[in-house]
Amino acid sequence: MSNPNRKLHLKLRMLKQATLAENDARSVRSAAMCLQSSTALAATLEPARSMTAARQPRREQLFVNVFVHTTNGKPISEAAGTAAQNVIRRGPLSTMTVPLDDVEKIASARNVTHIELGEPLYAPLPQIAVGQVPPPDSAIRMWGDPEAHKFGEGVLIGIIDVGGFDFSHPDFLDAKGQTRWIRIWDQGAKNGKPPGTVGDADLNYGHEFQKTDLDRAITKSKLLKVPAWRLEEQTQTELGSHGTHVASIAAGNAGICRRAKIAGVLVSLTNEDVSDRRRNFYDSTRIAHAVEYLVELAKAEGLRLSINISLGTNGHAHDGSSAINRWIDNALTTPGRAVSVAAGNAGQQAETAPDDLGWVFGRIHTAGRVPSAGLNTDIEWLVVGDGISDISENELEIWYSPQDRFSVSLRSPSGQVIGPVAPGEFIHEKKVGMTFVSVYNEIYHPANGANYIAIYLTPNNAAGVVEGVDSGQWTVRLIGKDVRDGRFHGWIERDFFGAFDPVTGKFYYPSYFSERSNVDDSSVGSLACGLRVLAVANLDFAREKINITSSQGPTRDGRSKPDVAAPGTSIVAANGFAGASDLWVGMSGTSMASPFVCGVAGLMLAVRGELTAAQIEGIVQRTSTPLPGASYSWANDAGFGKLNPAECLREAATINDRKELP
Amino acid sequence: MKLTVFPSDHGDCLLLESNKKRMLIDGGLAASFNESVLPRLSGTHLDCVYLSHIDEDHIQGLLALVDATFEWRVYAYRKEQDPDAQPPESPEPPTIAKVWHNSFSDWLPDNASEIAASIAQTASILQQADANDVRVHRVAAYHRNLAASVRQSINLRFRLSPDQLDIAVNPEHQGDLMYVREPGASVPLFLGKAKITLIGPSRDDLEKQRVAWNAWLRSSKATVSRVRRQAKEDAKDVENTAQEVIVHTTRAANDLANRILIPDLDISALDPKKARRLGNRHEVTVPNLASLMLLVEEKGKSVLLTGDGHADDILRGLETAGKLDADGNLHVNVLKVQHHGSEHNMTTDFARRITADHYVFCGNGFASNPETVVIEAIAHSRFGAPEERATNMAADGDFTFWFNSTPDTSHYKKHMKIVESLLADLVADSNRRMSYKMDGEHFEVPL
Repeated sequence: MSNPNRKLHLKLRMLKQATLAENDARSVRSAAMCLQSSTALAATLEPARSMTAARQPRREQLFVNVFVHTTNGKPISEAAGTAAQNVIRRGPLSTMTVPLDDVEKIASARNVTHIELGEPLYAPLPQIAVGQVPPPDSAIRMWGDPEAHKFGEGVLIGIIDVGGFDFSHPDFLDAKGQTRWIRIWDQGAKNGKPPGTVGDADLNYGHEFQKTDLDRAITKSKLLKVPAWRLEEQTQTELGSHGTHVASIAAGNAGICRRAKIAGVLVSLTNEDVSDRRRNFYDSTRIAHAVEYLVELAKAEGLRLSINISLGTNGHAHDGSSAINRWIDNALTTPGRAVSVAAGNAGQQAETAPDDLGWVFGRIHTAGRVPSAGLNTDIEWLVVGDGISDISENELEIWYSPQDRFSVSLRSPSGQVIGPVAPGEFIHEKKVGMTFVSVYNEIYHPANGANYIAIYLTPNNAAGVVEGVDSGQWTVRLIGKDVRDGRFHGWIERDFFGAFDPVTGKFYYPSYFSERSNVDDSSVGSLACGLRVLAVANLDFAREKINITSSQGPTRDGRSKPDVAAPGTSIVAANGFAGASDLWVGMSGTSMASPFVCGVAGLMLAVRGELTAAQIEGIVQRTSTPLPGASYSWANDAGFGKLNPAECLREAATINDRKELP
Repeated sequence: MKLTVFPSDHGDCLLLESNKKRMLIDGGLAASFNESVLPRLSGTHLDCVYLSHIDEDHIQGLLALVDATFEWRVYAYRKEQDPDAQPPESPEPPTIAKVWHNSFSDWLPDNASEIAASIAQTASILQQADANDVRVHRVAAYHRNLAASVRQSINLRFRLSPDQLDIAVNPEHQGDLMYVREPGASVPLFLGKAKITLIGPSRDDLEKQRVAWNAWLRSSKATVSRVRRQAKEDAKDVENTAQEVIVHTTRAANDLANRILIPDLDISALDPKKARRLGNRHEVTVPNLASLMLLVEEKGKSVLLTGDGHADDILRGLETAGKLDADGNLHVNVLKVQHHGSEHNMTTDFARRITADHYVFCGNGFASNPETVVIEAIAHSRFGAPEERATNMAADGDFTFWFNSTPDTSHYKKHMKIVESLLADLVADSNRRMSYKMDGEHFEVPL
């Protein structure tokens, strides 16, 4: 019997090795740690309000959200003896929420091949226009034959997003004044009515709003003089909500699928209160649950399904092999479904104006080649925050061919050298200056067989002290031990940008690569690297070019993501929770482009319900229009070009036409 | 008329009644409002809520009132679905007919949110500044408070809007800003049988301050972007150590503090040994100078409500409204002493010209308010040396100082002890003309 510990992804091993105090601190402050925490740790049992109680977690309160890969998709009998919750299966994968201490027990099951932690999700940061904007022109979102696509009637538009869904916004009301939202599942709600058993899945957390609840709130709001969204209140009701804007583009009355039904899943991720993240999960297992929920809901209602996810992950191999990629691809094998994903806003390399900080988001990818054994390649990794200290955990993953063997060393800003760390070796939380450094050098990742190196810079979280990570340049040196191919790719795990931690009075800032080390392409988010998802770039429609912030492809394994570009710059749609005097707002980002494709995919499904996600992807690729100066070949920023909705609908209508030749 | 004063930490909170009509004057802080005010107002009706200006010690309590209103309306909804629904923890709030308030968003309709965001950003950068520099320290504190109160004002206005609680704001001015109009164009205001005259702010003041805000926005934007450029330069410099980066940040923040357009802060005011100078208008913050100020009159009785306004502006407003006599004096029954009795807002000229039977101070020693120099200036205007004394005959009568906070529950009791011993001395000197009340409970000022 192999060592079950070997089946755990190294992040899980790192957490298991950490002390309770370290993990507790990790779960509350510093960006990547908060991200990790939420993916990894949550003292779920503690009372939400009492800070003093919150300071004394017990080991058994530390839960992690994991994906369990099995050989056969059969239940894992070992989970029965643990406190595992949210055990939900799809194909060979299961998700579960499990005490950190029980992970090893589950790994010991014979049919378990490996266990990975949910990937942290990051909140989208679209650019929001200042001031009032005129309402959207609904005519620009209309194509094809309304008799055929019926504006998405018979389709469910599923929105997995953040910020809250303003279901009573006029953009979502039907002729009777009722909302077109049929369900909202608020994953972060405590003490609510969870969806419960939905098809094969038991979704026993959060709160599910029914259409009757929402309609009653709309009716009563006029009598009681309270906004409907206060009467049936979600955990997030942010002014100018992201999720409301996204839904409005895909399915608002002035949007694309204006006769479709809408369902929302609100992921518990907010930029507002960082300390609250400690108690919430917001990782890729939550996306998996959201997909299950929407799939089952569409099934029960007899609707076709087009899902939009304008959220992202940056971890993992960017080759579609992560658990969430596989989960969604598996769900998309059934006809009548499509999933659109925002490519990400990490396209920008340099500032365009003195105040412009977009480049910080853009410098997240590096790539290169270690020329031969005995030679080195350096990667310059800058951790400086905004000139204000960075108390976030910074994380870098480097992936390379299983043919090769690299050692890795790290030079701190003050010149101290850590390593070299050879394949199969690791260093755990070594104190360097004010920073704790962890380096792992692993071979043959179970998901894709590739080799990978992970480096974590963790701020000093000793009791009462919060010191930022040592500012300056950290130099990662890859040392060729045995080189046959030599190529590598590295990504910085995104953390919060400019989020303020009220506990420490400090800011979270992402780290980035130097101009020399940064490589412009392959910055597309890992969620968008899935095989069958539609990865969408941000087209500046008026200027007929790709917005510089839009992430580029290809995937690490060379596939053509993004697939397509759709309007995502200065898009006017519903302004969530702002009231009748301020109904519309302009936003820019791939978050706005993705729901455009989601809506068009919805229309295609309305025309032909038996379309598969692969066919929809094929039609989108076939019909897209190259941007001025471009050819029909795939481009790393625009994909196959500008989405052509009218042609998409025409192709969808005739996809089954066959003519037998005489 | 009836005037009740509530204990409200270091803030203002009063209730004025006339002929069964009721007006709440400011809300004090949230905690004091929930503890001492809301239970007393529960189940009643407020014909008007008057918020003098956006500072925390005036607006917080009103936000708490609005919160409670939301909670109870949501509860009414819940109870229909579930008879066992738990009522909110707060007592049921009074109903509110209208609000008088010049909100930040109405004041700066084009860019209120941008300015609010910029203040918050500036405040956070200033936090990195050298805390040992007294002036920088004050600038930083000022921005922190400002960021909070601006946000709260925008928030309050939003919650009162027709989409939300649907409570009328400044209906007499068609929802516009309230300011002193030309004599012919002034809108009559009433509370029951009491006639209310607006005496501040003036249109000019609001306009000047609007211009100042916009200038501030431009300058702070430029500085913030410089801080960021510096950060980027630092990032390029491979040899830069963490210490150097911190030094750069601190320097940039100090620089920001020195460039910022805020009142010309008087450092001497921080030195307890130095004599306090009265009436320095530059020391009064922009929101304070924009205070809504009212003179309420009924059956020969009068109450002057001054918010955190400045003496000169009050005098000017009274003059414009034709409320001063030929010698430029006015005697009222109650003067709500401006700005918690801060020395910056009071002048000896004001103390001599505007006299009262009852002087109401709202303050608990926070920021050393009420200031002893202010109390002395007022007392001396009544029984001091001839050149200090008011010339108005009406000022020859008895008078009382009222304090809405008791020294032993206050965090600032040291200062209140000083105030109390000064008051005892003054009473002794006053030949029984002066008295004071410092009970710590809510109290009614006789009218």
